[in-house]
Amino acid sequence: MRSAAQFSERPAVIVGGTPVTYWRLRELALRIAASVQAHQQQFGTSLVAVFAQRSATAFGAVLGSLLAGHGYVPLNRTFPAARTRLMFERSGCQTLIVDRESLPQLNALLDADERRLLVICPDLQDLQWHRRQWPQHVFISAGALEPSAAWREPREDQDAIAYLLFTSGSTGVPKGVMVAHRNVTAFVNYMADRLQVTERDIASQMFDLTFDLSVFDMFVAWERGACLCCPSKKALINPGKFIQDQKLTIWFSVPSTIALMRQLGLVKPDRFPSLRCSLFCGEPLPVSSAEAWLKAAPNCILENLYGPTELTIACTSYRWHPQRSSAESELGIAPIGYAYPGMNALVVDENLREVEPGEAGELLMNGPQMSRGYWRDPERTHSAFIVPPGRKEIFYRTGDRVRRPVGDGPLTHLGRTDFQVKILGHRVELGEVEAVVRQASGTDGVVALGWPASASGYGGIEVFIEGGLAQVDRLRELIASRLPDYMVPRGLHVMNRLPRNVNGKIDRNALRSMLGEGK
Amino acid sequence: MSSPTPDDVRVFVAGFLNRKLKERAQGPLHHLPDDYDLLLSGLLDSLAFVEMITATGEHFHGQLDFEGLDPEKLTIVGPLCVFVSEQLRERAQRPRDEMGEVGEISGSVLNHSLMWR
Repeated sequence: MRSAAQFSERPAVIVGGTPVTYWRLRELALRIAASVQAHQQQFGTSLVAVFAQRSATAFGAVLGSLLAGHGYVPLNRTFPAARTRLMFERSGCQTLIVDRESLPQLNALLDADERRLLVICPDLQDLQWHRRQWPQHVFISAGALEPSAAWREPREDQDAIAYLLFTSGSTGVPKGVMVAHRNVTAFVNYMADRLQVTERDIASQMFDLTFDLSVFDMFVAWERGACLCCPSKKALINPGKFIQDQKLTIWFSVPSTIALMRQLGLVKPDRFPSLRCSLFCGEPLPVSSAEAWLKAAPNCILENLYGPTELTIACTSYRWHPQRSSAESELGIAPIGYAYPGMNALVVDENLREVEPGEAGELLMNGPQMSRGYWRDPERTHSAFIVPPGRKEIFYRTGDRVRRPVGDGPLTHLGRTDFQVKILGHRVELGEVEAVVRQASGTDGVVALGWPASASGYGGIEVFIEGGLAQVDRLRELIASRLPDYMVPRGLHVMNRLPRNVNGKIDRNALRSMLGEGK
Repeated sequence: MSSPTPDDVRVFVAGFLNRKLKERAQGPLHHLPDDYDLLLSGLLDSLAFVEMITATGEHFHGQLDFEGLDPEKLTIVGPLCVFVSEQLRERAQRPRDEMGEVGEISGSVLNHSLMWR
């Protein structure tokens, strides 16, 4: 709201090539907020579902939910309808805001829901068909939104949920992570300062709202009056042209985007001079990707961010240093760096006791960004948010293996705890196998999996490689010369493109399924 | 090997799309008009489109460089086939050491082939 007043005529977001000013976005958000408040008695849950993506309505809906004093629950029209329905029902939301592009999926959501719902459609004027189709629900069209003057400022509650974000659960049922206002405030304030974001910045908006990294996109930019720039469907094919055409100054994506862009010949020296800041998060950042990106964006700082949803977007970061960083990296992967202010990192063994400096273990963290746990799921909350022996505070178990720094060095990421497997009785870090194959093949997209499962672990290792290989025999020799026999992959699968999940990360489960199908 | 014509590229693209449709248990395309937009029609998403491009390059034993191409036209069948054909012809005429990073990782890639057993 402060930015809306200070930068009212500047663009808050560019959608489909059209700028939406801070003033216009504020008006839309206030009208949505006032409409939610007007129906509070009938549909009075603390959460509002946002079924929208990369549209003025999507951003207005996120802000409108928060301005109404509710948290938002993002839903994604590209997800299978059954999953979206499950997330919607589990959230308990009785209010749903939908943009035009998501309307075709609305049937799947409403047909199966017997509750009485408030459905706000700010992109539509005529909702007669919808009212006939679902007479039990209340529909609000663009023209029927309350005036912005009707909005009443809600009581501030830093412990209230800002957003509820569903992540995949190991049992197949998505877990809703409850992230509070105080968690987000700590993150946004720190990042806006750290990156010195100003109203002159133009930032990418690459993440779907169902990926929590989108919270950085929106709120760090808007905190300082910067402009958020959404790529069109077509621009996603050539992100390099998107950076150049829009003169982006801040870039944020998963590291896999660099690998894909390199495959298409889009990462060449000095191509992205407008970028002053590039951030990568969500999966390991290969050293070669970081180096190639910095050559393409020579005026840019590059940071590798790390953080599970439960610790609010990102909670450690590492700024790449051309002279030092290669040596500080491990397994060919950039370090994850240092904990954010107030965040505490503890590296522990299987008994949750802190390991010595230089040793590897699971990363536990706590601090102002630690979320409230899982929505209506005390059992899973208690198993992930624990008090280690000899300590009094609750820590979140990340499930990530890191090396405890020696002295003031950075944390290095070694993979997930479940990426450490037993092969024929030997303990093997799959990350080490991936590092060797990456180096030998010159390709960043490499995944190693234990396969097939056996009583004591796995029978061997299978490796998937993205892109091209000119000399497979030579690669085989190189790998065999650097790894002991039990770590040498039994199968090498070369694919044009490794499967990605909806967030753009490499989908290990899909690769494992392929091995199962080939059996 | 001679460079593919736009029609050669179209035949490969149609085959790729039909394989995708078969995976989704959908019927094949009977006609692929010049103005058909592969992305906006919903036939491919952006990642599947990238996969198709890399598969096309591999099929014709050449690495495609899409830096200069306007994504607005890239996803439309006619301009895409002409562009790919021209790129492969140009690159076949250039010495390998001019190809830069893309050339370094090029080679005969098998599409999800299993090797080294």
